[in-house]
Amino acid sequence: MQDEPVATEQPQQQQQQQQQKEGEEVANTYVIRPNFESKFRPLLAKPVIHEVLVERLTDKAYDKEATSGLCKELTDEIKARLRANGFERYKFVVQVAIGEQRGQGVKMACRCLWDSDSDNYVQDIFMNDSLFCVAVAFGVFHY
Amino acid sequence: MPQDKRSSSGSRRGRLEDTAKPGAMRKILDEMDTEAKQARRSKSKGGGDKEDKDRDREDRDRDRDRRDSRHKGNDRERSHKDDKERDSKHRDDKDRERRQRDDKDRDRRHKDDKDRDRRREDKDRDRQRDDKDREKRHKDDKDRDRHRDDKDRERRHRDDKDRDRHRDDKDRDRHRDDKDRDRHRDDKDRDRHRDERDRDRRKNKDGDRKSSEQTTKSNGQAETAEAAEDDYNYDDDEFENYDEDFDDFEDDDNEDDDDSDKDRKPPAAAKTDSKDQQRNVPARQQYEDDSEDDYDRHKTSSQQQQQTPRPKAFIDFFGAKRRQANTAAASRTQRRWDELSRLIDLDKVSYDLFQLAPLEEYALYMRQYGRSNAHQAAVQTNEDAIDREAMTDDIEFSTRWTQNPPGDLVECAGVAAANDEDSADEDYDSKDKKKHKKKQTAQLPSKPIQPSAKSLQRTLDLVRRVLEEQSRPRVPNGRREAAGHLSSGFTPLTASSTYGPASRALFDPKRSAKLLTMHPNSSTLLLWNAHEPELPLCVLSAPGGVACACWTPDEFVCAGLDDGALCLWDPTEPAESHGRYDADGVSIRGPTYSTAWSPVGNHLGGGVVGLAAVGRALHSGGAYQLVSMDSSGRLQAWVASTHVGPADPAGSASDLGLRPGGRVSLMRSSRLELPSASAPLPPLCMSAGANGDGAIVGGADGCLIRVNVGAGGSSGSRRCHSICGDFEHRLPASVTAIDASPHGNGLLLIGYADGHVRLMTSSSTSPLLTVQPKSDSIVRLLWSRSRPAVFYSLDSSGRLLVYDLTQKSSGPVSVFAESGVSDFALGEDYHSTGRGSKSDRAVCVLVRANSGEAEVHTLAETLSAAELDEGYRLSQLIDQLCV
Repeated sequence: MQDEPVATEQPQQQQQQQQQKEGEEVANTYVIRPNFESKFRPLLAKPVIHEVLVERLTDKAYDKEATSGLCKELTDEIKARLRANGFERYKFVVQVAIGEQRGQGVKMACRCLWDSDSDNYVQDIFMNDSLFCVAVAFGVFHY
Repeated sequence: MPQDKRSSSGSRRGRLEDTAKPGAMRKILDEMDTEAKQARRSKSKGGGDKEDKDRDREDRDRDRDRRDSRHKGNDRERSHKDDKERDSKHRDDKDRERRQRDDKDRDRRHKDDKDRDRRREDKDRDRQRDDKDREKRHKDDKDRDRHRDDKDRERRHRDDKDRDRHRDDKDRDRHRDDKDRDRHRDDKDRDRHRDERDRDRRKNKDGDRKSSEQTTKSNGQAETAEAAEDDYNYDDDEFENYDEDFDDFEDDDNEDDDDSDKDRKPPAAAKTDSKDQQRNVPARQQYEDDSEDDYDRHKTSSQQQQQTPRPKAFIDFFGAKRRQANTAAASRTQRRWDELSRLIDLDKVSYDLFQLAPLEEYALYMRQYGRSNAHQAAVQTNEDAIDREAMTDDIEFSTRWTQNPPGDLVECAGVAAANDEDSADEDYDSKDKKKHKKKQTAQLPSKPIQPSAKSLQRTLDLVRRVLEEQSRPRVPNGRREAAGHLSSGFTPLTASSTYGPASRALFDPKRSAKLLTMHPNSSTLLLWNAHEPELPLCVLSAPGGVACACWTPDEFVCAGLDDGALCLWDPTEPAESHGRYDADGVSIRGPTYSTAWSPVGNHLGGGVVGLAAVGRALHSGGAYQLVSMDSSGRLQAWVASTHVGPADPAGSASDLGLRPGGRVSLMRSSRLELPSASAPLPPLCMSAGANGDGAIVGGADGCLIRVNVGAGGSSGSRRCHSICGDFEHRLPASVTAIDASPHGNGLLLIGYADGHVRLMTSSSTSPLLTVQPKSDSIVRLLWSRSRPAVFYSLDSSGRLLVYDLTQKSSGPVSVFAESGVSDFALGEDYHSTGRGSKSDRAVCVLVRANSGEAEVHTLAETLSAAELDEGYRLSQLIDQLCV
């Protein structure tokens, strides 16, 4: 899991400090909803993850040694591409799980405590004969 | 500092003394306490006397509480351990007791930063340890200053503890306030749990302490960051200013009370986060203190060991600045949360990210097995058995023809015409068989014999006969001299014994040289040429017992069988088409046509008893009909039709009665029943009518019925006319023989079972002449083919009587009785009747009853040569008889 600080935090801090200096009467203002354009939408983000998975995992067989490194690379790449997509004020948590296909049953679930109006998640699955890969990206809006 | 220079052994001794004399210890502590109070009172600038008094009282109470608790612990320990151990471990017990309290604090703060907790505990412990050390030192040295110092430290230590305690209380208070609007039950539960634990802990302590908690409620809690830092910095680093510190501390306490009240007023969301954040503020302060306390502790321990003076600490500006920034950030975050939590709602959601069902065993097996170059296309079980995966060979179909009877060895089956040659090749496994088939097909004449070929064949027959006569030895009993004057000589027909005795003989009406003998034992008919008595021309084999037979005008042979079927042979068929030969090399032929297998055959009536060819132009080669009569009296008329065109070697697909390669078939033209008058007794004999257009049927009751076959009409009764059916003309005997005169005078001879012979005309119903019986039952009556007034009679005893009407009308002129004769036949005489062939002489056949042999006799001159006026005299006689 990767946490990303948001760059827009800094000016707000300064503003708060100024307000504190000026007086307690002026209340802070907060952005509690993302812009419509920059809202984290699964429809937009899913192809990004899918692209990464297909690029990196096609024709790959499961390798016990290489899987942990591969997971990290995949998370980094997914995170970088998501950020390049311009979801402003979003923090991303990217999780990639790779498992070997041996006929076993698998179930993955997640539970989130968040603001459903602004936060969302996107998930994509890649499967071939030897492995399955589940990539999840949680987009959490930073107020 | 002099007290620090004490050796550890000394301090231990002092401790022993203290424990040994608890009363003295308490006294000393009281003194210390009062001194400290006095000093503080003298130095205190702010605050009224009342506050000071309160504080003094508080301090006093607290000290007393502590001593009591300590004594209790000592007493408890004393009860369990002996004195020595108790003495040596007294201090340890105290420390342990405090540590237990600290542990409770630590447990309470476990949810906070662990490092911070640990540091604070270390700090507390260190401070306690320092306090103890200083206490001891104070007791040993009795130094007033140090005593006061220690007291202050002790008190500050208590303050620290109280501050911690107060924070708990405050948490609890705030928690109570927030309970109503608490949105997170988990947190609330956890808080409540912790509060209860705290409360229990507090109850365990002395009740006095509650009062102290109430008074020092807000000590050390929620100070502003700067104030707290300053306070502690001074507190730790500059011991000389401790009085001022306490003053500040007191002031801060008051302010803190106000601050805490303020904090409680806004309805901030009481989430754990907010609580933690609030707790973080003092925790972080303590963290800073701890770092310095650690430093001090290390130094004091080293001082105790090395007995070196404790150096003065320096002010950590960098740490202070960092602390300041952190505190600011923490407060900012806290505030940010407070404000945001009112604006947003968090909710709990759960998602299914991925689900993969486990593979079944079969799928897993196929997954592994399927990679090994095997492919499973389908599974066939019983339930869904489908025919597409059946493993049997394909069923091949081909169309063949077949035809019964398989009476001879020639194949009656083959490939249907629709099939091409390829499928025909597959029909026969061996090439030999195929060749044989082709050979057979080639031998069959594809065309009927042309007229030119017919003459050629006749010539070839003659040549062959000549050659055979020369090569073959004469028959031993060849031509013999006849006995009596019936014949001038005879030639026996030497049939093979395998066919059995002959029962009847029939001459071909067209060619007298052709002769047919009937052998019922072997169900065969032998066809002879009278000039070649050595071997029959061919053997006509019937599928059943032959009851009667006749020649047709076109030289076919028809036979009626016991089972009611009619069989027709065409003797002109080539012998190769039948392919069967007997031991003498004579061709054996099956019937060309049999009504038994034809669709028109209906044989319910019983066996055929009479068969005759009738027709108005019968003797001139015109159309004719065959009339058959079965034992039930039913008459059927048949038409023999010759197929035009080449014979089909494959036979007919529609007419199963036709033999393959045959060209003649019988078709039933009509069926008629005899009148009911004759029904009681079945008819026994039948003969063609005199004019050739009908048949005369003789009944068992003696009646005669003329059946007009050729005439039209649907009713059988109209075409059946009873002849001499009247009672006065009827003889009480069944009719056994009928013959019509071949000379065209319309005379009929009727023979009866009682030996009577009647002469009738076909036009009248009364007999012209009745010959009284001279013999037994009449078997055969035949008009002479040469002389119109002469007829022959054969009775059942084998006598042959010759009648000549012109000479003697009442009896026979001659009798041949020297040998038993079972049948008698006459060949046609062309010169007298115009039938037969010109070259044939007048011949007759006698069938011997005992041997069954047939003898061809040449009739004597008296019987074969007609007188010139014989016809005239006969007609005169008839006229006389009619009148």
